[in-house]
Amino acid sequence: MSFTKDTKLPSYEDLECPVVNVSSPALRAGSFHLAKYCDLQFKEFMLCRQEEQDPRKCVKEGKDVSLCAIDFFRKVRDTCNDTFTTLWTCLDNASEGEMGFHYCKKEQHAFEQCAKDKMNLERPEPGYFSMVRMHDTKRPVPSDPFRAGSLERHPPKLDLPNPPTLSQANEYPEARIGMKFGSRKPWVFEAKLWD
Amino acid sequence: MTGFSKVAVYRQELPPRGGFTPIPWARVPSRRIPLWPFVSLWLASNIFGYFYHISEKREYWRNEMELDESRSCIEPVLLAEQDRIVLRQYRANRDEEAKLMSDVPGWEVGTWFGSKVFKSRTYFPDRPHVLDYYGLARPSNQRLDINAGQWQV
Repeated sequence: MSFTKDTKLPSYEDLECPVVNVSSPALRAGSFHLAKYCDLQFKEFMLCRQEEQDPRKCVKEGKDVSLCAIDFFRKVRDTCNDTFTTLWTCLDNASEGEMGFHYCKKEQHAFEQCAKDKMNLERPEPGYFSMVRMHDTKRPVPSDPFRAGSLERHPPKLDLPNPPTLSQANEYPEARIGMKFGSRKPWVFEAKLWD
Repeated sequence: MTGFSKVAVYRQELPPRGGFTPIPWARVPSRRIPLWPFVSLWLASNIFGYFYHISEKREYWRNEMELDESRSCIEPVLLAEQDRIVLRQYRANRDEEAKLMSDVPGWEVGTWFGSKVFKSRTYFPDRPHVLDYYGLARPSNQRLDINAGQWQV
């Protein structure tokens, strides 16, 4: 409603993508292994989204994310379907409707074992996804000053020379004037204007 | 004295034979129960409960962390789909508005009689606004998505 003819919106063909047709308990059941399998695509998309803050510019990465997710769930269906189905049905029936994993520890261990054996996917340790993760892309940093990740907002660090060593400092006695009386009054710096 | 030949017969209330039963006047201390079982039980439950509570808290926060982590793992999938849906809706809204206001003289699509909502040429909203998304929808369609606010994954 607030977009004029000048704003470029992507066309319907650009936005065509298959839908990840998976229910929410199944998404939660496979979340850790999904994030491990599709790590690159997820990080690319989230980085693009954070830096550009523009959904139009991240459509391609979004499509990669969706296709990778579909690929993962297809793989799960082909190899580990039984354990996965028991896990997400158990989560669906968890108390309070919270889909908490503490209700379904046995099924979770079974699915993890199956994923490790058949799909060669190991789930990272419990605190892994809470930590800040770094990502390196070939996509250039956006230079629009109104965007968060722009160069104007984050100027690159300058290469400063190393500070001088003690042996170099001995060559300049005039710099030691302030230390005439030792370190008794280090905040007093006596400026010796001439000898 | 004269004239007192007849004596009225009356019955006097006297104590029973052998005297009254003795009145218990000595102090009788009340029934007492020992205090040490209760105090010891309370202290033991305190000490045990302290350590048990700490371990339970740790387990509780571990489970909460797991839920939060699974939610942040799923976020990119949902965000990508949401972006596509929102962009599709923006385009449909713009086309619909052009169709609706084609007969209004001097109406530019996306402006309020000439004044634009977004003044900067490079800005695009990151998160969808209610009016941008539902601006041209009828209330019955808006009410279909009321439960969207309750969706949690």
